[in-house]
Amino acid sequence: MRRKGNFSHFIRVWGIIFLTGLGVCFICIDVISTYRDFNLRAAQIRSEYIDRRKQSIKQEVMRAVETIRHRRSQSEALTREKRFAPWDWFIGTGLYVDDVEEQIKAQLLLDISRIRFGREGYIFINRLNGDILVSNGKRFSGTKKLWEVFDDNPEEMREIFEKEYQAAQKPGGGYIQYSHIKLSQPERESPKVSFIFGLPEFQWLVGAGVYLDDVENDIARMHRELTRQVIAKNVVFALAVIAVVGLFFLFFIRLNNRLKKDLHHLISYFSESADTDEAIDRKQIKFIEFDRIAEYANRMLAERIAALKALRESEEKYRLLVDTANESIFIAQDNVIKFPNPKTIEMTGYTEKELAAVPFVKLIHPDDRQMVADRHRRRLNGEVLPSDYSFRIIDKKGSERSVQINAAATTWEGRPATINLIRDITEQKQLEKRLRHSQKMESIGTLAGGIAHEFNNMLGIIIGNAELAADDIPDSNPARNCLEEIRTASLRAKNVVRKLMRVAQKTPAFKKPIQIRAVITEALDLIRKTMPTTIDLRLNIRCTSETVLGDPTEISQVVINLCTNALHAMRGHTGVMSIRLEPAAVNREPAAQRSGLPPGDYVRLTVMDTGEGIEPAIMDRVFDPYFTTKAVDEGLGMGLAVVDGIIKHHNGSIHIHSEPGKGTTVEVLLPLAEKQHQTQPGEDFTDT
Amino acid sequence: MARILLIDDDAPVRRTLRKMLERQGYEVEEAPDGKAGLTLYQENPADLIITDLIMPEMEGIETIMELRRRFPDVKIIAMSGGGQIRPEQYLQIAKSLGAQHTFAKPVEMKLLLKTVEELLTV
Repeated sequence: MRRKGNFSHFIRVWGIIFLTGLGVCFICIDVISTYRDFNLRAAQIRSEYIDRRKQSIKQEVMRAVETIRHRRSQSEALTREKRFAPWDWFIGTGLYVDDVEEQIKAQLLLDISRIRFGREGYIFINRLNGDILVSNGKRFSGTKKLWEVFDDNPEEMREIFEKEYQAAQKPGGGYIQYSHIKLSQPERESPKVSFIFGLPEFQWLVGAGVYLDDVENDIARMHRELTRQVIAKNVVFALAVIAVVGLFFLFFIRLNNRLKKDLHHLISYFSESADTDEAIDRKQIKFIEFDRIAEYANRMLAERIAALKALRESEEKYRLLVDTANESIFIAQDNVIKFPNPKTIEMTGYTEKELAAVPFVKLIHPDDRQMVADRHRRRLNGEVLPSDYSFRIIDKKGSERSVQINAAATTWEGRPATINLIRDITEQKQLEKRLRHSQKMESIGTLAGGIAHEFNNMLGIIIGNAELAADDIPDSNPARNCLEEIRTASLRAKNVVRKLMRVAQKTPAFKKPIQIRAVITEALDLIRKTMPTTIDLRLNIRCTSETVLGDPTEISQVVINLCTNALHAMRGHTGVMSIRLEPAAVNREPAAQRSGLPPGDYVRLTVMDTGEGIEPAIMDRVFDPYFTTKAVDEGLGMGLAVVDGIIKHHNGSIHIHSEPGKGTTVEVLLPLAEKQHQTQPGEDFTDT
Repeated sequence: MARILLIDDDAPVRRTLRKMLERQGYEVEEAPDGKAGLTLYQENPADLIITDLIMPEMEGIETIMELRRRFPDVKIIAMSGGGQIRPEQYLQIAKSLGAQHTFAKPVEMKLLLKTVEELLTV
């Protein structure tokens, strides 16, 4: 960007330059015009002066001529009065006319030779034949020629005389130019202009001249005087211009300062308005134009404050809505996620930067990618699609989450995009699964409960009547055996019904703090008694005094069922059954985190076998009641369903990991009792 | 001889119990539900009531509560074959409401008779 200048400095500099320039211009113009005038004037003065001098010498000559003519007329009169014409005598004087005339002529010439004008001005008279009569302030006899008197350069003198003669021939006389000696400087010649007038009646020519160098000197002097005057005038003018320019400077500086002040106010305002909301104090502004700027600036500021407030409110609303939303909200464009809200970051585990760098399809479960990508593409193309649908995503840790998306087509920066709301329905799905499972269980439970009730009643009747019948017949009666068989079978049926009831149970009745180690160990003792010798039992009991809030019978049932399944998986082969009991901390151990249990202290019971394992295809069904891989006569398949029910009611979790052909590991987590709970009032009920 | 009121919605169960009790010399009255049982008891109080818990109309728990309310001294034995919840839970509730003894069905005859005798001699 071009370097910016300082306005006030600019104004000042250019103002100074302008005013100075203006002043200088005026002065220069004045000087130039004066100079031109001066030259004209000087030329004028020169020519006027020369004319004047010429006129003056002409006047002198004509005066001399008048004098000569007057003297002649006087002498004629005199001679007329005194002259006796027949004899050409002057009567009374005894002089001859010629002599009188000569006297008069001589006196006249003498008088004329004494005439001086100017510095070097004199009258000279020569006869038309070249005889010199008066020259250089002297009277001559008239017997010599001009060139004989001034014989330094006779040829030149002849030429000069020739000029004189020619000029004398003109009716009004004429001017000639030549060089001649001065009265004061007889040693050298100086250029001269002379007026010559011819007096044919006398055969004279009368002239007077002026020396050009004297004229030049005079002109020079006049020049000097003029120059002095002009300079003085110019100086006065220049001073006047300087004074005026100076005044303008002062005015200008004052204006500049006031401008600067006003601008400073405006600048301060604009520089601070970015950070503060202070308006300009218009009272400080001097000029109307800047005041108007200030007025509009204040208005702009007010509007800006209002807009900022509206923006802040809008941002707060946005923040409230989007940032605190419990759904993931983002724009999808160019196949990437843009502007993810905090929930999106939390849900996916990726940062905003990471999300912008990876196509969003990569976040989707491979099996759902096609469907989602297809819908996105169709929505961008303007097709109307149902806005809600669900799919699975894989977060950064690799965990699968079920989500429901609500998407709508929109535009961002002029290009097609979608706005997306995503809700994590993983828990919901899990709950649905559990609900389905528990509904299944419930329906079974209801059925079981109903059946159990009926069965118990019927068994009561069978057992009761068998006993009554047995009382009615003697011991030797063979029917007594049959009655005994009936009774025994009925009691077995009662146990089966009991097991069924366990599935139907809603809440454990006998939760109390139990030493988990003791309960597990007792159950394992029972297992050990029924274990085949081909199976190696390995125990790792690390719990000591940990207590769990639960029903010891049910916990035993869990151990027994799990061990029974493990043994069943290894039937007919050698194998290892490992049982481990140890404290565990959920949320502090990665394995425990997948349990979905709240953070806290737990015990972990692990039952591992090296049996046939469970096929992945049936893994989802192992907890279903009546689902069993056992043969029909080997069991009902209630084992894991019962275990699952018991563990749920103890607020624990069960997780099965199996590799077909290698074995199965079942992991049960049970929360430790936090405090001592009182047992519910009750007693052990008769249970035959 | 003492009189015993049997309340159970299942007729064969009542028949079996009646036979057992009459053999011991007790006089037995029957009611198919709690409401009928209460009416009978009101008219002619028995010495002991043996009641089932899960019944239509007035359920056993309700019956016990009502009996206790109206007849604080009545002796009650509660029985249950269970249902949605385990029989023990029902019986525990019955006990807490005032049944002197409780049994899970199918009940052992000898034990029941012994308990009846104990209650009636007190």
